[in-house]
Amino acid sequence: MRHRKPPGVATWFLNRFSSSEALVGDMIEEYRRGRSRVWYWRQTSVAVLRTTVADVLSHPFVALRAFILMVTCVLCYQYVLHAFDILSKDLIWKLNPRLLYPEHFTLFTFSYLFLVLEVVAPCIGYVMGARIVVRFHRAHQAVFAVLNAMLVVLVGALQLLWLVERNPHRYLPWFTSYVSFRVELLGLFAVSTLVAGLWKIKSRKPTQA
Amino acid sequence: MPRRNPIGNLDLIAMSALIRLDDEAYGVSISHEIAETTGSEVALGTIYAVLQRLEREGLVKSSLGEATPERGGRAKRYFRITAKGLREVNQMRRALTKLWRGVPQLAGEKV
Repeated sequence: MRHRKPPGVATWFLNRFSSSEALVGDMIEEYRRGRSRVWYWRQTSVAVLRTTVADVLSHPFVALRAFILMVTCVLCYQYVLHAFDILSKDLIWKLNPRLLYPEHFTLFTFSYLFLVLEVVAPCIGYVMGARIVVRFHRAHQAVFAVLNAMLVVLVGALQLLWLVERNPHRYLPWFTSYVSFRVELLGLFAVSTLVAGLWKIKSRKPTQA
Repeated sequence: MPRRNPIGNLDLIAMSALIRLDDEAYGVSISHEIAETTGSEVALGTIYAVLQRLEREGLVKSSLGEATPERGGRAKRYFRITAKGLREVNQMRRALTKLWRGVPQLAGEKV
């Protein structure tokens, strides 16, 4: 039997989701008997999904509270971000209105208007939201971290659909690239939410079976 | 009065595997036994979920075994069927036998 090292990320996920040490041991044993990495990841996904569903079903009120907290965090932060966006653009307009003209785009306006307002600020908000949710749900941190990331994707997808549906430029060629950029951005937000939710979570304490 | 939640297919398969494996029933061996007898593979996470539920219902009991380097230092968890579990399996077997008896479509089929 070769002592192959099982996929580290999958084992990390498994340790945080599965309360059974024996299950992780069984998977490592099978993997070292020649199972593929795909098999290991599939088994991990099933275990994570089963734990998530079982946790939500066994604690429906806690899940509902976490869901409401997540929605509140996401919506509040989006409101704050929107206000910040308007105020900052207003300030730039007062200082130097030319900075807001597309033909006068500089490194400053690109890094501020694009990187800060579109990428960094929302990321910080989602990370903070994820931390708040897991802070109040320590017993089910991993499960709610995943649900939080799923909610970010759901809200983002709905906003994107609304944008596509309402935008008068939706038939223009550049619009497709813009939508694909928004989709990539949504992926980044979901991943940062997930990582923030799972950050520093200890392995689940072993229980019976 | 009939039982409200009769044991499901996978419960029955898992408990039958426990009976067949006796002292050697742990996650990997149960999964192999199920794959050999049914011809389809069941994920280890699913097997554990079923066994955890059966343990809560008192149909199965478990104990920790030895930790080995092949398992990354993790201990095995051995499962055994309880007397109550054995009764449930027997009851289910009798019910299924009654159901199949006299079904013309199954006549001549080797069980």
